[in-house]
Amino acid sequence: MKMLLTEDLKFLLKDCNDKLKEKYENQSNLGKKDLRRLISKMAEFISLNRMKKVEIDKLIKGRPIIGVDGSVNKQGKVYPHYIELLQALAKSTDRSQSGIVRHDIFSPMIEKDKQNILKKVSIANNKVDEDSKVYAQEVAGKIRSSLLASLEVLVAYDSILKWNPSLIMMDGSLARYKIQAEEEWEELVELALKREVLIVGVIEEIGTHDLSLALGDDLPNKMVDMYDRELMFGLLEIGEMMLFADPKDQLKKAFVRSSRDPGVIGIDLLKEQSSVIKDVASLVYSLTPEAGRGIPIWLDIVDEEVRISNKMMEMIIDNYLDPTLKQRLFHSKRADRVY
Amino acid sequence: MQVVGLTTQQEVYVASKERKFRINEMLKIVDESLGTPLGEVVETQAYNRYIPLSIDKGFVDKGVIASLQSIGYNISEDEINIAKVRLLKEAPYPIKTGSNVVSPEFSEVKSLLVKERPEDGLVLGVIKGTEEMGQEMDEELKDIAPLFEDEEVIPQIGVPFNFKVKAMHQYPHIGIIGGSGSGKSFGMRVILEELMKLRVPTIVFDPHFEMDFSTKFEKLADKYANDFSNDFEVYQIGQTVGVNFSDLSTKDLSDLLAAASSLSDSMINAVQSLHHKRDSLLSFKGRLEDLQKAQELGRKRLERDVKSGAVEGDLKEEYQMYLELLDAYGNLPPSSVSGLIWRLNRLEREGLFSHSIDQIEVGIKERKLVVIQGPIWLLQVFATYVLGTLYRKRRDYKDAQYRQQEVDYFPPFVIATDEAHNFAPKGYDAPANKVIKEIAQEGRKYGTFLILATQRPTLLDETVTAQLNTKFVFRTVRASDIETIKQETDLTAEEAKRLPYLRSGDTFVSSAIFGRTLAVRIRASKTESPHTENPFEELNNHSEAEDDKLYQAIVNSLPIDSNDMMSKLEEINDRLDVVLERNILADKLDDLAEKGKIVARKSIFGKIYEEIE
Ligand SMILES: Nc1ncnc2c1ncn2[C@@H]1O[C@H](COP(=O)(O)OP(=O)(O)OP(=O)(O)O)[C@@H](O)[C@H]1O
Ligand SMILES: [Mg+2]
Repeated sequence: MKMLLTEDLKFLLKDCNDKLKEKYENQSNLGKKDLRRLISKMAEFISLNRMKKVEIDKLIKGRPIIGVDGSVNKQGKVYPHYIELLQALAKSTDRSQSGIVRHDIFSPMIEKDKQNILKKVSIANNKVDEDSKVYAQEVAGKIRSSLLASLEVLVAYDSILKWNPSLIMMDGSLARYKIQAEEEWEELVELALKREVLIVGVIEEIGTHDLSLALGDDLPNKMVDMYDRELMFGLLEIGEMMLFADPKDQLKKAFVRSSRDPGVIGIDLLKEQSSVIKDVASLVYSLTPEAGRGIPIWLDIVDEEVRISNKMMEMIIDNYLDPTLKQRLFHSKRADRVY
Repeated sequence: MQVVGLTTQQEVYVASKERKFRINEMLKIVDESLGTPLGEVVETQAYNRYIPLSIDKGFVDKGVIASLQSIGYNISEDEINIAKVRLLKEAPYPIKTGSNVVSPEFSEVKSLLVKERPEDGLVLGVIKGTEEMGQEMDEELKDIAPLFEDEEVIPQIGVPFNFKVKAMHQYPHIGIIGGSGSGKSFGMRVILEELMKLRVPTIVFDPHFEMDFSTKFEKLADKYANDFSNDFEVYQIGQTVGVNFSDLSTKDLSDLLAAASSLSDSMINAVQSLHHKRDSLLSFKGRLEDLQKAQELGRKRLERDVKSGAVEGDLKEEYQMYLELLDAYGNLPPSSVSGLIWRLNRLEREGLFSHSIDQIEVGIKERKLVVIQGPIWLLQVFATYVLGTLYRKRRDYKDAQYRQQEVDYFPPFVIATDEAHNFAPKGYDAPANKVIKEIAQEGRKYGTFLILATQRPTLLDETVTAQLNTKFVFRTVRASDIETIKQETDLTAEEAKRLPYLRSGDTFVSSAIFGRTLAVRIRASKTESPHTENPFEELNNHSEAEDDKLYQAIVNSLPIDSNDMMSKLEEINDRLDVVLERNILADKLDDLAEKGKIVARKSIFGKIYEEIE
């Protein structure tokens, strides 16, 4: 496809670039040192070491480590004509055990899901005023997210019963599960605490702005609404952790620069287990390729396994859905486009 | 095991998580619609889906892999094994992807791998990739081809490679090709052992003096050994065999002389005029020497002396004879004549003319293997002569038989030689070229077969190469040779790619008899070359022996006072077969002392050599 690079477009791009530059590069901003000093009021900087085998053994005591991840595949594109296949996997480092998998299907075309969407839409819209009206598509997205979160929490729960692991590594923030799958989450926490199973959330895309909220007016004007990932960019050395002092939402949180990538990842732990956060962070760091994007390889492996490729998804749907139904309900005309 | 990816009618990829593939192993593809075709693994690969994953998402460093191992997960086990499998027979349409793949039973592939019973063929080694079927084999196929690996003899595991020698009647001649150290000589030895087992009359030309079968291969258990002492004879040119001069044709003779050192045109011309039919060495050599003498004296002087009566009686007769020679051959340049004499003497000194090939003929008739050793220059011409003679006898016998005439029996026989490119080179004419070419082309008709080994197939005469219906291809590194091999055999591109990496003793057998290429490991030989001693060890062993000899000679004379050596010198020299001088003896004693065999005690007057307590 040819991009038509008109003068107009060039201008728009240049302008955008200039504005971003002003905000992020202009050194009316705080320097690295000053920012660290500010942050140190509310958080602690700790350097981590890559763990030796004995240290790892001491932490896990011969029990396996579980990785939990979920995936969504979508057939069809535009609301409500799509179907989504949800899958969650808990995979043990003990290779002799095959993974625990749970599936679910979500589609606004299915009566049950449709009712659910409509109900939530009407509740929300009764409460709020006109200009923050919620739309069915958004609600559908949220429902799907929370279905997936519960699937993941459930396989984590199953994995404790089945394998008695030392640690469960979840792909994403624990806060997300707490919010999106509240009931299941409570049960998981209860069991994990009883069985002494550590649960850690590993967050690749940090979406919070806890720092700017906490620092408030101490930050220069231009920085007050910055997200955490922006403030943290390049702030930590490789292997350095920034540990928040106060647990928020019952979770102990930290940012870690776990690879050469100047960005950071987030980790969170149950408040009750926060005493070992340094060890857990070191383990995460030890499992992260230095040249990678900061995610421990174990989660990459789980991710690779859980992800059903679109091609495969198509095959599954082909096999189980009546072709005329498929064409009628989920076929996206765009897929027929020839670019 | 499963067929994966794109397939064709000739090739498929097979993947397995649990099982590693062996190159050359046979697999059965369970695609019923195609009648479960058989294939052979031609390439193997292993693939780890997490390690390449790191190429775009960041390289997985060793530390991470180790940490992963510490938490109990070994990433190397995520390996997937992939084999490229070539179907033995092209399928009518492509194999179905996803088809199951299993190892075939021995009975399903027996007819492809076994063409002959072991006692009737040449059991040369083991077919590679058949290890898994070894248990199901018929008893007679088991434990007949032990292998030699890493300096140890190990039991045969797979299916034996049994070369159907009788099929040579249809597909004659064998080539053995490979670079230095690739296992040609070893392979040749094994072939020759098997020929002896079958009592096939064989002549071996052995330029390296290595083909002797009286030494049992030391590392081989007795149960596999064979006593070949009655099955072969070793002759050396000039020592035990030679040529009968009066049998030589003029062409043979010029070839022989040329072998001693190359001949100029005028020398060849001279041989042609000077050599007469039925000449003996004496008559021919006499003629040459007389002519030389005559040329030295010169026609003028000879004529003058005869005329003037300065010579009388015998001498006069002699002079007259010289004149006659000059009349007949006077135009031959004296330098050519003396050149021929020099060459003839060289051959004579080698003992070439003092013996005959009678023993060789006897050996062949007794169905023995006859090894003929000599330096390559001499061997070439001698081979020409021997082969010419024996091949003619065999041919005459067969031709007479066709004409239903009564003649003496002369058996079919095999001719084996190393350095074959010297015997039948490409591009120029060597003495043996003609006879070898002739045997290559029509030996089949007369039951005369060639086994030719060479390091340099590219240098071997093409008409000969083209007639080699079976080729053993060992490790080959040189690109031009690999090119020749590709043209002259049915080796596939994958196999040709592997040639530079073959281990010594591994070979591809490309044979019309099997109809396809087999990968084979040549078995352990039953005998070994008498001089496989490492030359450096030989050096040490030699000086050990020398030291020992000296020690024995002096030990009874100890102690020896360095101031009074003379008194002992005589008795010591008596015991040695050389005569040592005083200071040499002193050196040698110091040397022995240094090696700790005796003690040199220093006293105020000098040294005293003593025995070690
Ligand atoms: N079938 C075999 N099994 C075990 N070892 C072997 C085998 N063939 C060869 N070798 C090893 O390789 C060495 C070299 O082999 P060989 O002398 O046959 O080489 P070659 O091809 O004749 O070399 P060249 O051209 O230099 O004479 C042998 O001494 C032996 O150690
Ligand atoms: Mg050799």
